[in-house]
Amino acid sequence: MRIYLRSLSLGVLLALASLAVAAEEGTIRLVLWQGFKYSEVGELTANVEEFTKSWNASHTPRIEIAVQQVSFDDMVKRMKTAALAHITPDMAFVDANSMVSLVYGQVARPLDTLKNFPPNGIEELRKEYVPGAFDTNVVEFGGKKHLYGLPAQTTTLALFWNKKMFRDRATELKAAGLDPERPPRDWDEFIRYGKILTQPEKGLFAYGLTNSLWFSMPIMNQYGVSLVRRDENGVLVPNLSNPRTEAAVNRNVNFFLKDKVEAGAWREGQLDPGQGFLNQKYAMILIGPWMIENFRASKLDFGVALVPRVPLEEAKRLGLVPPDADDNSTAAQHLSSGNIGGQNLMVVSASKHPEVCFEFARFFSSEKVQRGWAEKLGQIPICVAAQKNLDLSKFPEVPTFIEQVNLARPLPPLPFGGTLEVDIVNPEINLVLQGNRSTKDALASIEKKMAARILAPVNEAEAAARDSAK
Amino acid sequence: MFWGIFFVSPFVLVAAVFLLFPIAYSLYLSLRETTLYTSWFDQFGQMKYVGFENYRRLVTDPVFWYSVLATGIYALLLIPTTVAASLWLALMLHSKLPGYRAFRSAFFLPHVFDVFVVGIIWLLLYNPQSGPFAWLFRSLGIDWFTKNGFVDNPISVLPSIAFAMVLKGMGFGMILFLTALNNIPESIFEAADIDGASPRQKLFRVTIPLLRPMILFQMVTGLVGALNAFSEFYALTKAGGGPAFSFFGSTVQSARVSGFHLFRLFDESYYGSAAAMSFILLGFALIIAWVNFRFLGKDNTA
Repeated sequence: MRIYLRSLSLGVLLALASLAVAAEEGTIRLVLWQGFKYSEVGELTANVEEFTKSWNASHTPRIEIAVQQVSFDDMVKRMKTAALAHITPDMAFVDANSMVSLVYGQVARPLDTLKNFPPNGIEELRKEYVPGAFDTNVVEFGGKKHLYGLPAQTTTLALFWNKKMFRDRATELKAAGLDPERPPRDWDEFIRYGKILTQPEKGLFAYGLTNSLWFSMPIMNQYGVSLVRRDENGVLVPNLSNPRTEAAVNRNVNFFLKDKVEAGAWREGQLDPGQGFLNQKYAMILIGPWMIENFRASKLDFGVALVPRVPLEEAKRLGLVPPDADDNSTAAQHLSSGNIGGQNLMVVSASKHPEVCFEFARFFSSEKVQRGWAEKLGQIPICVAAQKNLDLSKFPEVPTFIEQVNLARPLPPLPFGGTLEVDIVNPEINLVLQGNRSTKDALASIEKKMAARILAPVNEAEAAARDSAK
Repeated sequence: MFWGIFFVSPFVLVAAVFLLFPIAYSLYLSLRETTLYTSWFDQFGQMKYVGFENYRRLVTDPVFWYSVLATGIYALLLIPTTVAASLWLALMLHSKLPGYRAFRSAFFLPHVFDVFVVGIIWLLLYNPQSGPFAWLFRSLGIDWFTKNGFVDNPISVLPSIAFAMVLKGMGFGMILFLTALNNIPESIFEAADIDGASPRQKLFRVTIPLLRPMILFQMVTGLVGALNAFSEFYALTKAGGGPAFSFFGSTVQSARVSGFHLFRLFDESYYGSAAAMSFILLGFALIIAWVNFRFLGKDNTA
């Protein structure tokens, strides 16, 4: 009898335990990788809690989102090793410029094939977001174009100018007919300001240049440069040997070579632009909003303005604006183009619950959440609706960034982005900056390498995909 | 026989798993390459067999040959200078100069710092405008470095990085030489004194020949260090690979030594090429090590 009772009790206990396990198993556990700054993690955690609570109030099974911190710079590498070990998260915030690698690595899931994707399609959804940021998520892979993520946080470059350094040269600037209380508006004016602000004998320079493809993109975009194009057969070919690209590169390198307003900050041993601006050695730099906190902490008296435009006459000569355009025309306004950085929220292809992840991505990029990030943290809202009627009294620089990012364009969606930037473009432009190669020769060399190392494999893969589709 | 095999089997097993298998697997990978559509979930499984194509591509690539040349130049600048400086320091401290203990610690200290920390410090020291080295040269009437920088031009970038690493590494070499010096019996020097040897003769005829095994050891480990050098180049060129220049018509980055080139291949997922490059470098290392042993290691008795 005793044995029977003991067995019965044990049986009941085991049954209860298995029920508890079943209840636990009924909860969907999602893993989210994020690489935000410490000051941003609190807001993200609050967003995750809010979404989870609201989801669990109306859905079964319940969800639980585990947020895991991964270094932003190592996110792609971690994803690569995690994929190899089959321990990927369900979703991740990734560098907007890494999307192509993640798609080609088959780690990112196409969102437009999900059951809960809005029925109006990608183009309709695009209208809700900053176009440049949204476009980093649209990638053609295997001959098909899909949406692989939603923009979550965006950045772009703008012109930072040191008001004190301008004031220190107020007399000279006024004598030259320039206003020391405002930054330059176009590149010709930038050079006029630059010649007065540059005092090499005192170690003071008007400008600090970063030599990298991504940092050059605002000027490239302003000059209407498209790094690649499709020829009449639909094959990708480099598109650099043309007057616009040459003009854009010359504009960038001549700040140092010809106009002598740049400090040589592009060199390895020099103070980089951020450090030089912080130390009041460079009066102007192109940098993103991530440096504002540092500059403020150093009590710098600085302002943020749109990237100076292509001078109107030059723009007309190059066919960038209609011949009758004036300074206030829309075409002229668009000459102050920017580049795109930031993070996208992607759903990992191995996730068993992509629809829930997509709902979270929609929630995170919603007007409400983006408004919170802008007003509390000074972020640029990626949702267009959230850009209106913001209280940005604590972040006076953000409106300029919002204006700039809406004019911005991303890098072309090509794989081997690191090879293109680090191994192909940067060394060639470095040679031009050293005065050891002409812009024309450098562009021809970039085209040759691009064609062989980047475009040839893409074209080959696309052709194979087309053949297999037949 | 059985017990012999039994006792060595744990080592053989560990070596097989952690040494032989990775070598064999690298060889296997060197004959394959990732394709554009290689899934990250099965990166190694989906690599395409390409035969010796990775090796062919490397040996016909001027950038690879420059990386080998740059590594050779770096090794030539680094190894003899580090050995000579370490030996000189050890001889100074071995003579028990006043305060030698403090100097010993001070010279050893840079060795324990992380290379990245040292790199950042040296970037400040090498600043062409405000750095102390540029100031020193300016005060000597040489303004070439102020105009061209130290790590900013293809001519001085390798010597500048090598100089920084000599100062970082010579403290460790000094400790090794001090240990070797302490192991030389005093009676040998006493015998040399009786024979009327001058200090110079004692140094070149007694001390250095007896230190030859240690010199050989430092040369070989230095060579391995130079072949693997990466962090110092990454830190001192801000991850860029150094200023560019034209090498037989190809644009190369002047500080792109073999370790850096290998890193770039690996970073861009060219695992097959990276594995092939490792084997080519291994071949070079074996040849140079053999030459070292041949000329320095044949007679240790002096």
